[in-house]
Amino acid sequence: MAWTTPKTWNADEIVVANGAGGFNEQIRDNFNALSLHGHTGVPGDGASTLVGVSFSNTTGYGFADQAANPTVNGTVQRNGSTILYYNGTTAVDLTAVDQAANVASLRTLGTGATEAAAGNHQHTITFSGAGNEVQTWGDSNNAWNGTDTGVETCISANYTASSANNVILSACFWMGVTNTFVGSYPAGWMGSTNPPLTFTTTFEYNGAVKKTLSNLTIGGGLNGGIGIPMTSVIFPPNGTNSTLYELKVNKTSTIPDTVILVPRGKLNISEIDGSV
Amino acid sequence: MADRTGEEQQAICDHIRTDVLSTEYASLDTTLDPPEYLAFSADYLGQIDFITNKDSLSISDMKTKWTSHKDGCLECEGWSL
Repeated sequence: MAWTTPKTWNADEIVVANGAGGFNEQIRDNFNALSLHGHTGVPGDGASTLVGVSFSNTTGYGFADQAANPTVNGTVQRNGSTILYYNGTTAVDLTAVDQAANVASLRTLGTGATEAAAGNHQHTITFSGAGNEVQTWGDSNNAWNGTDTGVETCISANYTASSANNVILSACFWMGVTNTFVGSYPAGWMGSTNPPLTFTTTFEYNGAVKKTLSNLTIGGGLNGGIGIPMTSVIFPPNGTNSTLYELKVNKTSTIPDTVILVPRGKLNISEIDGSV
Repeated sequence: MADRTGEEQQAICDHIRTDVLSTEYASLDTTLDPPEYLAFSADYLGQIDFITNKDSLSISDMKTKWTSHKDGCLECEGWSL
C-alpha cells in the first residue's frame, strides 16, 4: 500500500470513510504503508543496506559466530573465538599474535623474527679485527742536515680493505729520527739536541691528511723514550680499492750542527669489522 | 661538516699553540734531557688533543682553558676535544 501525503484538515470539514482524503486512505492505508512496506530503496521506504553511515559513541560490536572463516574479500567475520579478515587471499586471524612478518597482526615484544622491538631497545655494536692488516717500517729516501727543514716521507704504500661495508680502518703510527753522521751527536736514534728539534707528523690516506701531530720533539716520547708518542686515528676505507697511505714528517726547527737525519716511522693499519 | 684538511689541522694546532696555550708552551724547559714538550694533534673529524711530558702541565686544565677560549673564537669553531 502506497504512502499518501497526509491531508490538512479544514475547520468544520465533513470526514468521509472512502476516497481521496477519507479516513481509510489517510489513516488505515498510511498506517499499513508504515507497517508493511519493504526496504526496497524507494524514497520513503528505505534500503536494506546502509550507505554513508558513521557511528559514534559505539560501545561495542558483537559478531555472531559463523563457524567458518570469511571467504569474501574485505569481510570481517567471527569463527568460534577468533575474528578473521579475508584479504582476498588469506583469512587473517586478527586476534592471533606474531603472525608471518608480512602479515599485519598484533606483536609481542622480543627479538624474534616475527616479534616487535621494544621502543627502548638498544643495539650492541661488536667489532672484530679479522680483516686485513698491514704493519710496516719505513725510512725516508732523503736526509736532513741540522740546518735543513722540510717534509720527508718515511712510509708510502698501499692498502686494500677486504670490504667496503661495516669496516673501519685504525692506523697507529710512531716516528723517530736516526743520525748517521758521527760528529756532534752519536750515530743511532737521535735524542735530545740543543735547541730541541721539532717536527710535525701527518698520516695521510687516499690523499687526505687524517691526523696531524704538531710541535713534536724526538727526544721526548712516552716515558721519555725514543721518538714521538704513538698515536692513532680511525677512518672509513676507500671502498675495496688499493689506496695510498703515507706517513710524512716535517722538520720545523734547526740546529747548527752537521748531522744526517733520517726519519723512521712505524705504522700499523688494522681493519675492524663491525656489526650491530 | 666536511672533513678537515691537512692545512686546517695544522692551522688549529698553530692557533692553539700561539693564542691559547702560549703561556704553557713558553714554560717548557727545552734544556732538559729529554726536553719538555707540548704537542698538539688534530684530525680530519675535527678533534683536537694535547700531549705533554711536563708533569706540571695538566691536560685537563689545558682542555678547560681551550673550552673557555673556544666560545666566540671563529678559528676554533667546529673543533672539539
